[in-house]
Amino acid sequence: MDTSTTHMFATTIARLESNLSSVIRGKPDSIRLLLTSLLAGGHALLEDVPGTGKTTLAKSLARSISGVFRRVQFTPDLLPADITGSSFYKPQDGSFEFREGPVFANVLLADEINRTSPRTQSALLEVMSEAQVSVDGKRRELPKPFFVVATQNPSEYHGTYPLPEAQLDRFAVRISMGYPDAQSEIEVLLSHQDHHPYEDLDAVVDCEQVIAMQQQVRQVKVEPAVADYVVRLVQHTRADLRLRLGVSPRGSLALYRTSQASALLQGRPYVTPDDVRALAIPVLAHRIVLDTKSKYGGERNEQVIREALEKIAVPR
Amino acid sequence: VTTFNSPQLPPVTQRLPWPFVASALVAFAALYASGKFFVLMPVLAVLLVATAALPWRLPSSKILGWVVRVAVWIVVLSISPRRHTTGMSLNFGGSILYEPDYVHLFGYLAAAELVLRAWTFAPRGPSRGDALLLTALVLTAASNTTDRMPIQVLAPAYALLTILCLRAFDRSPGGRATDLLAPPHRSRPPLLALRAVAAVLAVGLAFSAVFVVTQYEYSITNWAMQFARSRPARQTEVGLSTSPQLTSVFNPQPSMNRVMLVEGPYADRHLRALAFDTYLNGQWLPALAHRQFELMPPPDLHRGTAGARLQFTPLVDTFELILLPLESAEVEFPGSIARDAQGCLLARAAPEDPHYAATVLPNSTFQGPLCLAPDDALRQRLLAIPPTLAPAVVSLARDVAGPGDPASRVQNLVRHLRTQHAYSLQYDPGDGEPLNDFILNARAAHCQYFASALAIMARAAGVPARYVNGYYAHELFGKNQTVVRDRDAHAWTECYLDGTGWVTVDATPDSGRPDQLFEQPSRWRHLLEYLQDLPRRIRAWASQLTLQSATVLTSLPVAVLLVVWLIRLLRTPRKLNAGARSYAERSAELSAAARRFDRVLAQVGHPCTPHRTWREHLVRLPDAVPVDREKCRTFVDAYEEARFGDCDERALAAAQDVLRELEVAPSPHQQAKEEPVPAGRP
Repeated sequence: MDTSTTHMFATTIARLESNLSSVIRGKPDSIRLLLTSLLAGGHALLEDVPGTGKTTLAKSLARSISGVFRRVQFTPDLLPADITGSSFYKPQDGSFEFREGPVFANVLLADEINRTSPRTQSALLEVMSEAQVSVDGKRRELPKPFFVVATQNPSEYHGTYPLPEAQLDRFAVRISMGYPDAQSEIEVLLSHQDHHPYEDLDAVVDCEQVIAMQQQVRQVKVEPAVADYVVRLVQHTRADLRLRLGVSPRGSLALYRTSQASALLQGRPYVTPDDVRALAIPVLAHRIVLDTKSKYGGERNEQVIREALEKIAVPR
Repeated sequence: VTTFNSPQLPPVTQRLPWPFVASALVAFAALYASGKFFVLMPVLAVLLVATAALPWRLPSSKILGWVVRVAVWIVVLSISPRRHTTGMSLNFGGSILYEPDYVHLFGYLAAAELVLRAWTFAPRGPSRGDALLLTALVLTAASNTTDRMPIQVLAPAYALLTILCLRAFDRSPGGRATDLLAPPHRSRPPLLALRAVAAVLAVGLAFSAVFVVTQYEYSITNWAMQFARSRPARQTEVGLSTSPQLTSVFNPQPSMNRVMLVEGPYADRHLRALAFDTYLNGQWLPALAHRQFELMPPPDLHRGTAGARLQFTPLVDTFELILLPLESAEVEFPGSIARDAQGCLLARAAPEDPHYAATVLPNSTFQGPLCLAPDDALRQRLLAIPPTLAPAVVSLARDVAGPGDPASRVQNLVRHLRTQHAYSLQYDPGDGEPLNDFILNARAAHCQYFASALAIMARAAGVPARYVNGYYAHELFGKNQTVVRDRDAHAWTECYLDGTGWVTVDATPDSGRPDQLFEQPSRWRHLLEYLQDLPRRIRAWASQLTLQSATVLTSLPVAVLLVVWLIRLLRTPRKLNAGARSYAERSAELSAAARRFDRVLAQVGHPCTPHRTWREHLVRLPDAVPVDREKCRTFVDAYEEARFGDCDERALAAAQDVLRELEVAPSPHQQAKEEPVPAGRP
């Protein structure tokens, strides 16, 4: 891949990044992870307590891309048809007309995804992995790019349906926002003086550019040794006796693809082991399932991945 | 372009915290002092200290680790001093539990292992548990000595340093201890004060523990020996007397202490200790010290007759006397036995822990090795009536006994004593001959009076009789075990019936026999006694084991562990392979450059582990490390471009240029002298 092309993309991404950080203060890591998963063609799960800016981040991203943004507030009574869309009877000519649901968007914000029933959550499965909807036996393609940003609040369990493993596996990264530091929080307060800074946002990239970048990500070189490293990490989790479920091949593919995206984000046409290591926890930690003994013995998913990173030799 | 924060990993430093090294050195010093100044200990101490000064480490390869370990074992085993070659001794009876030399040998091995781990390149350093356990083992090995002085001085210092050492361990968010090489948390003043108080308290505790142990060592050892030994030290409070005297009370402090265990078919039995033929002024003679005992030839002990086989286990020292029922037929004893004219048996050349067995016949008139027919002189003594006895007693005895055969005369006398007299533990004999008052005034008294009265009255009625003391075995424990306690001490009479021989006659009323007199012991006492017996039972069981069965028993757990380990091994085949196989080969120039850069890092005392990238390693290098970080980063950038990008000659050449500049940088040791701040320490 040409270095100048790479630099061009890096500038575009830097613009996108500065646009987002004018709204989301002090969270460059979260912004980069979100962009990484966008460029890798994956979806992102934002997990944190309320009020840390999850929804704002997703909305700002949608606004920065001049695409269609839709938001679904997930509630227990939401039905699959409410998000995919359904056919309506037209009395004029006696035919059925398909009305598109909110998933027909470029950026879909699935807010509080764990508040809806497993049935509706499952309706998202096909949408997320195939980027298509099948209603009344008819397949409908979603617009491109299609990027799902889901949010959930991990600290509250009443009236929630925890996401099944299959659903979690479809998110490329899980991002924990965390509280901003004091300086950033002051900046947040001052920037909200007369209006929400979100309202000042302009689109800096269009959908075509995003699609081009997504295609460019696939051109980033991955040395066989680095791919081997990815597989070793993943296989280590499968052999770990503390885990009921290790990382799936979908997980290793996600780590591979996000590492490529991360390299492109840094204007580098090749992946280094550092890219893999930096993404291992956000990409892999939510895919593994601890067995009951380890779970209640105080083990954490992140800790297991961290130990795998500490145990496996790095290619040089 | 910024980069992500890499995953949170503890920084790499290669030095053990000083309090840990110091506590290990104290333990080494203790072992050095108690182990007759073995030359290896200073060598190990120097090696441990040297880990802080020298940068290189053994690679963390398992095979190499074991090769070095076995080599160290061979060295330690071949040069360690061994004076006693009796093997590992586990002598409960004596004072030694384990041979000090062998314990010291384990201490040397633990010390060597500690040094080996400090020198092995482990990414997380030796773990807290392992390291502290090893120093504790070294100190424990040093404590197994008779020379207490060095331990008393060094143990509190060890305790203080170990506490300081705990501070140097990092804690992960999960609360688990991680590694020894992580820097300690910076302490805030209140926490520091709290820690100082804790340290002072701990040292005080260590001092007082040493003081208490040395002050009360003898009592602690004795107390422990109560459980370890089957036969406690000689007890003065046994109910037996070697020359009984008729006093107001008998066995004044009836204790629950166990005297003996009898295994075999249950029956109430009179276990005789001593028989007396001479009565003088309220005292029965001869005393044990004045008796003539003669060694018994083995055939005398074996009167082959079938009967119940009883096993006797003495739990206290009963003056070396062998307590047996009169009707014993065959006696098996691990030493030799001496016997006196009264048929009393004394152990000679007995082992420390004697058990003996006897066959006892149900027939109470059987004449075994304990029943010696009296010769004329003895018969005279057995018929002698003491001069202090009132003539009224003699005439009463003859009246009661009647004119029948000896057996019926004795029966009449027993019936008279049992019906006319009551039992009482308290009796005031007043002045003069105590038997006169007891017999003529039909007083209530204890078993000594009944036994003496029957003996004297039988003599008056013409039947040779003697006074016997011993224990009345009656308390059933479990299925076939009889417990004899100190409170079961009893006295009775033996009469010699012409034509029949010696018979046991107990004139004490039923209410006065120990089985009716005392309450059953509580369950708690039974449980405690069961626990006390456990070591003895285990030893008895172990002594029966043959070599083969012992081998099977000891190798069985090892075999089970081996099988479990194998199963685990089979269950995790991939885990073992992970990281073990090497990555695809890179070009020769790249390999050479990587090796050279690793050498540069090792020369400044901070080699990069194979589990981290150079970039992470550089970020975490302590500030004081004398290496040009900017150049290092330039090298890594160029190297990675050549390695992971398109194989670019230009990038490789750039990397090699920077590498050359890094290699000619001034020697790190010179720079280290200018910067006295130790690396990795706050």
